[in-house]
Amino acid sequence: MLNNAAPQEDDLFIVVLFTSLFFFLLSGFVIYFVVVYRKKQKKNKEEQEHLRTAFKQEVLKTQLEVQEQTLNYVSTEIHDNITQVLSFIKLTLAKAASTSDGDNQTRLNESRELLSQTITDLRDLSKSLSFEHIASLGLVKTIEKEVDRINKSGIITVLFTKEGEDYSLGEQRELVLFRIFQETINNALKHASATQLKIIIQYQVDLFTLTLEDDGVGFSYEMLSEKQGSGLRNMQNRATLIGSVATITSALGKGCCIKVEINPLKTQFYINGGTHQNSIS
Amino acid sequence: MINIDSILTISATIIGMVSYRKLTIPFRILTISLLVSTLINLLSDYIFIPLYKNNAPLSHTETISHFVFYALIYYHFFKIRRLKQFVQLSLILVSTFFIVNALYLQPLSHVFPTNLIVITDILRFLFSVLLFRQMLLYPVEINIIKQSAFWYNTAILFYAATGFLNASLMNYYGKHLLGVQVKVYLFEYLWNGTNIIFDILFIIAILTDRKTQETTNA
Repeated sequence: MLNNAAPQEDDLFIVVLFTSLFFFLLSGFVIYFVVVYRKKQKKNKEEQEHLRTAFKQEVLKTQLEVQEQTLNYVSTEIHDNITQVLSFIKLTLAKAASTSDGDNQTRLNESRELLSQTITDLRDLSKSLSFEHIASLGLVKTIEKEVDRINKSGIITVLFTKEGEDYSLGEQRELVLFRIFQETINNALKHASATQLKIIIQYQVDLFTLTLEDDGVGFSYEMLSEKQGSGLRNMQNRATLIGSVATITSALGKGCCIKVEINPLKTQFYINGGTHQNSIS
Repeated sequence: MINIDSILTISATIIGMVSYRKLTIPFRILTISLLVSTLINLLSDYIFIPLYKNNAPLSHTETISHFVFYALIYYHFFKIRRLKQFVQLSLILVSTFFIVNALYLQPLSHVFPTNLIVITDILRFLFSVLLFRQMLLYPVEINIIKQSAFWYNTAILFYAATGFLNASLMNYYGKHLLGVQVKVYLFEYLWNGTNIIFDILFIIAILTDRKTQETTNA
C-alpha cells in the first residue's frame, strides 16, 4: 500500500534497476521484432520467387502450346491442302506430257520430277512440324528422318549417334527436345555457318543426354545481340520446362555445343501442373 | 544550460533541415516537428516563463504539438485504411481533450498536463505497436536496418513506453524530500537518458531516410 513516507535512497536504486530492466525488455522486444521481420522477409521473398517461377513456367507453357497449335495447323495445311493441289498439278502435267512430244514432253517430265521432289519435301516438312508424327514415331526415329532430310539437301552434314537402349521420355519431353534440336539446326545454318553438326543421344538408366555440336563460327555471350541471346535463353527455358538442364558452351571460332540432360526417373511438376509425367495441360 | 539532449535535438533538426528535400513526407513532418519543438523551447524563456513563472504552458504546447506531428507521421506510414481512420479520430479527440484539459481540468497557466501526457503516450505506444504489426504483415525487401520507419518507430516505442513511467516517477519523487544530488542523478539517468536515445534514433531515422531516397533516385 502506498503511503506518504519519503522514499529512501535504497528505493531509488530499485527504481533505477527496474527502469534499466524495462529498457532491456524494450530492447529485447525490438531485437525480437527484427528477427521475426527478417524471417518474414525471407519467407515473403521465397513466396514471390515461387510465384515468379510459376508465372514464368505458365507463360512458357502457353507459348509452347500456341506454337505447337500453329505448327500443327501449318503441317495440316501443307499435308491436306498444298500437297494435294501439287499432286493434282502433277497429274495434269502427266496428262499434258502424254499428249506432247519432243522437247515439250521432256520439259514437262522434268517439271513433274521436280514437283514430285517438292511434294516429298513438303510431306517431310509437314511431318517434322506435326506433333502427332513425333508422338507416333518417337524422338529417335523423328530425328533420324530429319537428319536424312537435311543430309539430302546437302546444306550441312549431320552425324547422328545413338548410345544405349532407347526408352520413351514422354511425348511432351520428346517434343520439346525435338524443338530444341530444330532450333539448333536453324542456328547452325543461319548464324553459325556450320558445315557439320554432330548429334549424340545417350540413353542411360538414370540419365538421358542430347548433345548437339556444330563446327561453326561460335560466339561469346558478350557479342550476342538481344535477339540471338533470347533464342538461346528460350532454348534453356524450354529445357527447364521439362525438368532438364541445357548447357550451352561456345567460343569464337570453336563452334557451339548444346547439352541437354534429363533424369528420366524424376517426375516433372512444372509442365504438368500435377504429378503426371507426360502431359502438357 | 545546454545539455547533450538539447545538442542532439538541435543536431537532428539541422540534419533534417539540410536534407529536407531528400526526405519523404513523414520525415519532412518530423523535421518540422523538431524545428517547432526547438523554437517553442527557445521562446519559452522569453514568453512562457516571464508570463506564467513556470513551465506548465510550455509542457501543454509541446505535448499537443508533438502528438499532432507524430500522429500525422503515422498517418503517412499506415497503409491500412482503418488505421488511418484511427489516427484521424485520435487527432480530433486528443485536440478536443487538450482544449478541455487546458481550460478546466489542468489549467494551462499553472498545472502540468499529466492527463494529456498519459493519453498521448498511450496512443503513441499503440501507433508504434500497430506500425510494427503492419511491417510484419507487409514486409518489404529492404534490410530492416536501412528502413527509416523502423528507427522512427523504435524511437517512439521507447519514448512513449518510458515517458509515462519517467513523468510519474519524477512527480512522485519530486513531492518527497530527496537530496539534490540524488534528484539530479535520477533526472540525468531517466529523463535525459530517454531523450538522448530518442534523439539518436531520430537522427538515424532521418539519415536512413535520406540515404534510402538517394539510392532510390540514383
